[in-house]
Amino acid sequence: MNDLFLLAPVLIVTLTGIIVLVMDLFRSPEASGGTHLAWLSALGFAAASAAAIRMWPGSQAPVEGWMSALSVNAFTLFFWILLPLIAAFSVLTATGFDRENNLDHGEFYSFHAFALAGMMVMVAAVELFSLFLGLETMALAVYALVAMRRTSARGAEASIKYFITGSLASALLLYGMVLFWGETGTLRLDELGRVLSAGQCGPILYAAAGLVLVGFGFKIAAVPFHLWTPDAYQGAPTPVTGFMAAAVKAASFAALLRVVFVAMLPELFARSFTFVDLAIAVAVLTMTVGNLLAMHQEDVKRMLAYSSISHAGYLLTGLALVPQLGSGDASLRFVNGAVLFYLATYGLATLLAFGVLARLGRGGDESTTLERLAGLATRRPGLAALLSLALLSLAGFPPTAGFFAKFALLRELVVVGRGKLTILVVIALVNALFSVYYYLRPMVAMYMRKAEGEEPEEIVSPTSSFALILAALGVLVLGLFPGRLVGVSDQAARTVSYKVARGLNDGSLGALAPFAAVQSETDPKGVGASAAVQTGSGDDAVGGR
Amino acid sequence: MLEQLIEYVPLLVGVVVAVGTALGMLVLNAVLGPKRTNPSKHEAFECGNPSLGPARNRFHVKYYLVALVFLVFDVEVVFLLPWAVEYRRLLDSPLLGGIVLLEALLFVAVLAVGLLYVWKRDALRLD
Amino acid sequence: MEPILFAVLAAVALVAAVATIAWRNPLRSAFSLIVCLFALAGMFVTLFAHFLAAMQILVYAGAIMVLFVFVIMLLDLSGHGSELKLRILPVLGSLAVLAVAGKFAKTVLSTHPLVTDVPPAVPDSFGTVPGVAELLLGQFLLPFELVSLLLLVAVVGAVVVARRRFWREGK
Repeated sequence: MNDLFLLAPVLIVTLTGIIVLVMDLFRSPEASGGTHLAWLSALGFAAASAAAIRMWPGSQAPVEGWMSALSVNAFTLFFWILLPLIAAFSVLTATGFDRENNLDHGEFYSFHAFALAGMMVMVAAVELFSLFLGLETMALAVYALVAMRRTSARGAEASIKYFITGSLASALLLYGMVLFWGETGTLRLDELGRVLSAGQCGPILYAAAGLVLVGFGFKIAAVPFHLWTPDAYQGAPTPVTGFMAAAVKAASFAALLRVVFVAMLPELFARSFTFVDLAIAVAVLTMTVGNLLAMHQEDVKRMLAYSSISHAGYLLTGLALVPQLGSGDASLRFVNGAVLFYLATYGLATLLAFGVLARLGRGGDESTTLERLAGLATRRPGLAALLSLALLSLAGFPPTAGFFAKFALLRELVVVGRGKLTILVVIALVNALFSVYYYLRPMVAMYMRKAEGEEPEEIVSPTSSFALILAALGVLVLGLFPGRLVGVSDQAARTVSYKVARGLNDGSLGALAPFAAVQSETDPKGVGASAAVQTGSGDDAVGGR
Repeated sequence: MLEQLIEYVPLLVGVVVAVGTALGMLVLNAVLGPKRTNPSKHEAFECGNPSLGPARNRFHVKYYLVALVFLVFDVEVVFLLPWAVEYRRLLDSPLLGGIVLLEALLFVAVLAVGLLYVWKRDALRLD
Repeated sequence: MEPILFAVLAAVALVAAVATIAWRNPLRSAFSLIVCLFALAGMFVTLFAHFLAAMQILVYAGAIMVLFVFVIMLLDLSGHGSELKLRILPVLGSLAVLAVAGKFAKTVLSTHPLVTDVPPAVPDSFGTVPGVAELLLGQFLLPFELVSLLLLVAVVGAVVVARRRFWREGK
């Protein structure tokens, strides 16, 4: 029964979704507004997050029996804390927008809950079958969310494009998994890793790995699998776009990191130079193409879609670090903690940006173009300030959270890459500089231009304002005092490693050694988790079996 | 290999009889039937009434919804079938004996919410 | 015996698959697909995966085909075949993809034999009803329960997307 308690956060989220759905079924037709449903779901998500916080730093015992599909370690818990918070912010910032767009129905909130439950299974899965089912649950719910606003032609286009490319990605992923199974007879990531490391890596396994990676490429919108992103992000209801950019991306990245680091890291990335080149090439392409295309967008929503592509590029540098591993460098056997930190801060800033955009334009008329944004600072100074803060964080200005995230990520490339990745660092820096241009454009419009013609109206919603202010505080606090979250993300990242998963044990500490001090100061449990990593017990692994 | 396939022979016989009957009727009809033709014989047969135009009309999307809902519950049955067939044996299993009923109940309960939803939202209504 | 059965079923499946995409009439494509799916079910039978064979027919040849036929009815596709046009960009794109794939194949094949070890054996009960039941309700219990959530999302999503109007929206 203890196993069941480990699942508490997922169960809470699922139950929240079902309760909200059923409650709305029995609501009287005259009752109006879904704000209380939004609050109920947000509270449910927050409760799940709180339960996950209580479980930190995760199970120390190896998982067995029917629970062996999931692993509730610190890495999992990091996302079990983060994802419900993102979802809670998302439904709260949606209030007002959902009323204007006739989306304030139980389905809207329970789709958030079901997508969240899928994500939580997906980030915890250490076995491909559960991973795929979690991913599909998430994907189906998000397709439905995108398609819910049927009055808008752009929304219909977005939902079709998102659905078809998403299904293609799922199919590729599934095909890759089937090939893995056919060749190795196992779906468990750690056992897959063991088979691969035994040197039986034939062409079929390369094909399997390629298919799985391409499938994830679609999900995280890496170039050249990004073409659906702008249309889907622009056509989706604005709060849903925020949910997609923050939560779906974070969950997909988490699953990708776990699959790569536990199952196929040394074999695919250290031995074969083509995969190395490919990882770097995709990272560079993704950030550059995303940035270049974002430059000339007149619609802020579409601009943010391209910006989310470029952020995926920065995050992929976390994978580009991997290839250096063959050199016996102990520091790269873990997921890079900076990637997790980046995902959290990026998610927060993105939610804030889309949350503000959701408030612009009434009655289903979205006024998110630069032109319509003009003069927002005089009309609604609060909203303008919040949007500016989000954009500054996305651009990476101090003292916002985005600055420290970019700093930590690039610092990793410099320190751990040991000069071999200099070109990658330079490209990332140049990209970050150029991105400032398009992040500043909306601010110029809001603060320096006057509205022409009739002034667009903004949605009034105290609930949404409350959530936005909370998110803004988060962006500032994480920018000023990042130490704690850095420690937590490093500790979480350290539990996903092929070394540990395969019961290999070299007693090495992670890449963020300087941050380890922070970690031990702020979180006494951190020491225990590092020790657990060293003994190879606190993990994905069934190592000892 | 061969002896294990023996158990499929009744199935094979069934298939052969079914296909044979259909083909046989068509062939016999073509060989034995009188061949007199007139224009009304080339019209679509609508139980004796005069036909109302081509059959290739567009149908309303609400029928598709019924098909979708059918598919979902069809897949549910697929997942429950192994449980139902193996229930007694699994009851004796030391690991699963205690929970095998609960497993299926939970599965069905979640889908019952789906049924309730479809019902309350009038998705089963065709008018 | 087994190779002959496999060859026959594979040939039927391949021909039917080609026919599926070659017919101009969508209904003929749909029925070719049924033939293809039946041939696949036959292959499962030769592998003694009875349950999978039955499901292949029940779910794919049955339920999924119903959806195909419904879509054909909904869209009134009669007689509209799409024109094939050769354009320069797709051709260039395909060539680029082929080049990258070729490079990969070369690298991979130069370091590894094409045929690796024999795939691991599966237990005799694999794909039969008892085998599936044991896996589904034992080792894969969590995914099994997740399937019910997935189906719930599917049914609610289908109703939301295919509905005519929002409830409470009035006529």
